[in-house]
Amino acid sequence: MSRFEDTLQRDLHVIADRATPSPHAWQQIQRRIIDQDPPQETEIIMLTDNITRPRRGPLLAAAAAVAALVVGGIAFVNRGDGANDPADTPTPETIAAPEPDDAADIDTGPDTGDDADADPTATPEADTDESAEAEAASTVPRSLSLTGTLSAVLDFVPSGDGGAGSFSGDDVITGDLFGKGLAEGTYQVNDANDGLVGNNHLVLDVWIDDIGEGRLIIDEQWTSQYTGASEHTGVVAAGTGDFFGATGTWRYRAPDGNDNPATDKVETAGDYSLELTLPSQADADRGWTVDADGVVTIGGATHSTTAFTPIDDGNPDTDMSVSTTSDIDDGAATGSGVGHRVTLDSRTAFGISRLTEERTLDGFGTGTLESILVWTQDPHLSSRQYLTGATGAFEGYTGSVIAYGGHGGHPDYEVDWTGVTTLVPGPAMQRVTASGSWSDDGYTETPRDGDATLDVEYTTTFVGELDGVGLSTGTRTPHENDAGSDGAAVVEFTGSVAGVGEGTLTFREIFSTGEGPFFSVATIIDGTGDLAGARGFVQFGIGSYELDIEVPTNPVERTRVFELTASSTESDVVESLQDDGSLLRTGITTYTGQLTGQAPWVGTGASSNGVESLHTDVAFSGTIEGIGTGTLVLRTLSRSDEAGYWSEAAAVISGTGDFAGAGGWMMARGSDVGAPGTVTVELHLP
Amino acid sequence: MVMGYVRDTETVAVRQGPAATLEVVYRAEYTGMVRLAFTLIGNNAEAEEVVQDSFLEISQRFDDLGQPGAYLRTVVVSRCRSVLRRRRLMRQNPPTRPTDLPPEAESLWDVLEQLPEHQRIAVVLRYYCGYRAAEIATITDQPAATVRSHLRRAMKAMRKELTP
Repeated sequence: MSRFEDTLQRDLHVIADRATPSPHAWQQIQRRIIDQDPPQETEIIMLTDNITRPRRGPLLAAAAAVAALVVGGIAFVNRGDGANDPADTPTPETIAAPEPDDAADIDTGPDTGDDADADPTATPEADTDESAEAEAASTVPRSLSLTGTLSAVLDFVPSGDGGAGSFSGDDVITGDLFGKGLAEGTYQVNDANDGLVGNNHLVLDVWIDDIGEGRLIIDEQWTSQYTGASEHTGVVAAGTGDFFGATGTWRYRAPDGNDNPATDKVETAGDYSLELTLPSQADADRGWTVDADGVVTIGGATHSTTAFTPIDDGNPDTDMSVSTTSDIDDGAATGSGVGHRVTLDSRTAFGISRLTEERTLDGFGTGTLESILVWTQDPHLSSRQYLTGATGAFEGYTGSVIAYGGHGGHPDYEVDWTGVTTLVPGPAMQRVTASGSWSDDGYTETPRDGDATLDVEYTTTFVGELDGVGLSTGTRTPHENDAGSDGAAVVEFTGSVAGVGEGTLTFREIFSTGEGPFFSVATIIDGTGDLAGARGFVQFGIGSYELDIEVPTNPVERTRVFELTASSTESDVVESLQDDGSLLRTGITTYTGQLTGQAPWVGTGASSNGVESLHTDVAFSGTIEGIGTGTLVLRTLSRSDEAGYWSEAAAVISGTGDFAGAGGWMMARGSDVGAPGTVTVELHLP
Repeated sequence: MVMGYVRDTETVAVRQGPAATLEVVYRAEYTGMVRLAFTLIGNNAEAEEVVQDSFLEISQRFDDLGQPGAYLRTVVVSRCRSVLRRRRLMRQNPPTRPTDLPPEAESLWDVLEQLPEHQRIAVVLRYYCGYRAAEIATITDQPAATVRSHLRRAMKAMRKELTP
């Protein structure tokens, strides 16, 4: 036994000696034995190993006792056996007390140092009396069927937009899940105009018997009739604590929901069922798992603190440097970057940051990961997308982080997170760069009636690492204020990309001609063959091109395609010149139309001959008509010239909420920086 | 030590009739169990209530218990875990630190309070009661590997806080 353990043992005895047992306890126990009712459980099964332990009874009793403390006005199931409820008391068959012969082997005093367990950091193999059966069981994923009751008190806030609105409130959950939680979501009138449809983000802090305590995040969709009955289905988005690595399906049904005139809130209660799958106990103990596909999930005790420090660039409210530290059971991570936030009102905000993170995972290694972090405040949620380009032990990995946090008593801008990290082994996305030359021929223009816009067609021949022919169809619009013009086209490329293979690529190209330097950039929105699922950019110079794409090894099939239009306006733009001569620009874009919301962005780039080109990370948060609400992360290439014309091409990187799994592209352009521009979006959703 | 009481109890209980053995168990176990409960939950009145409730429970099925002392400690630990869990979930009624503790024990108490209840229980059973991981696993109805994990994490956290 180490010196530390000696001290620990001594101090524990000092504490224990402060207990003062009553000298009259035996009399008190005897009185209570006489007063108590006959045993309620009449069937006693002794010391058998193969009897399933009843679980719901004790939990219901515990739930009732605690629920009464939480919300006295809400009715719960209560067995009514009062102070003698054996909350979490095991039934006899689970005791498995040692047989008399074994008792002789049990230590009778303090550890003397010769016990294999004396050092708790010893490897499991050191424990020779380990149950092989228990060890084998600890490597099997755990599946649970859980049921019970969830009660909610919700505050519905109409938006004034055709019966839509948002809601939030508190939950109390009993049964196999025991605890409380928060609900937050949006709703709108259904197509039949006889009820509501909505989504709900459930954050439950609960206990599960035999498993432990933690947080379950459930994203659900629901429908309800005006009578109040509602049906909910959802999935477990994440689990923390003892529920690290949780997945599952959730169903909930509430027979009614009643407005309480006294509180002006909706009170509802119903039954839930949750099919929950947890990693094996061994994986849970380790804190990270590797599945059959090599996907690493890190969670459980993952805890990180992100500090947002305002940058002294004249816009201290919105620009900030970002640092983050994470403390996980088997490693650590630190990161830094730049970010930008938008304050929506006095309490809520959201923002975007680009981070470079150094991570160590014991048994795995050390490396760096690049990521885009999008976060919201009140509630604090964050979604981080790892980009290609990881180094060291994580080379070839991409992935994501979903985290949930709160201020935790820290000063402003410093947030504690608890979350789950998923690292997907490479090459899930293969990043490819290529360069070469191009030339156009067969260029034709056809004027439109009553419109200055010209329909254009042309053929582009690519030579070099991108080798093939592109057929382009688009428009060109002469500027009203100068001799230039700008246009857009869809390019269908057929050929090959060195290092990837053959197939087709579809570009959305925007270009400017005439005054100022030549500018043309294309967003690659799709591909076929070896190039299936490709996304990225082609940036054109005069006669030259540079291709920068990512090609998924296992392309995600997206079945829903939405074509959307909107207008966008930039505001709060702040520009600063960095030490290396590059530009750092931040700002906010506000979208109206089929996209409604705001997008903070952080961009770096360069200015040349009056034209600025920026690579920008954008986080749109808001509503998209016909889809719902959520967040979209985009990477864009943009240019603007001194005359005020600007163009932007964006690739959709990821999405959250109703936009989860999003891909696609966005094009935007305008003739006056600061004035509304036109936006075209094609969003691909699973 | 608690284990010493348990062994004596089982030995005596086997030799005596059921009517007498509850009192035998009481005499052998009560003080030790209250101290164990107190070390876990830090409140003397609650510790006594937990232990007395546990005696009531074993009294209902005493005739069927082959080793009532073993069952008693399982029930006591389970009830203490419920107390800790409710405190954590409800975030109320934080236990007050026992009075008149020397500074070293005060520091230990403060660190114990920060540990998750599974870890706290594992530490107390290991270093106060002297149980091995496999025995703690039996008492807390968990795999031994899980108990060792709790102990490793707890010791890591405690060393961080208590080692200068």
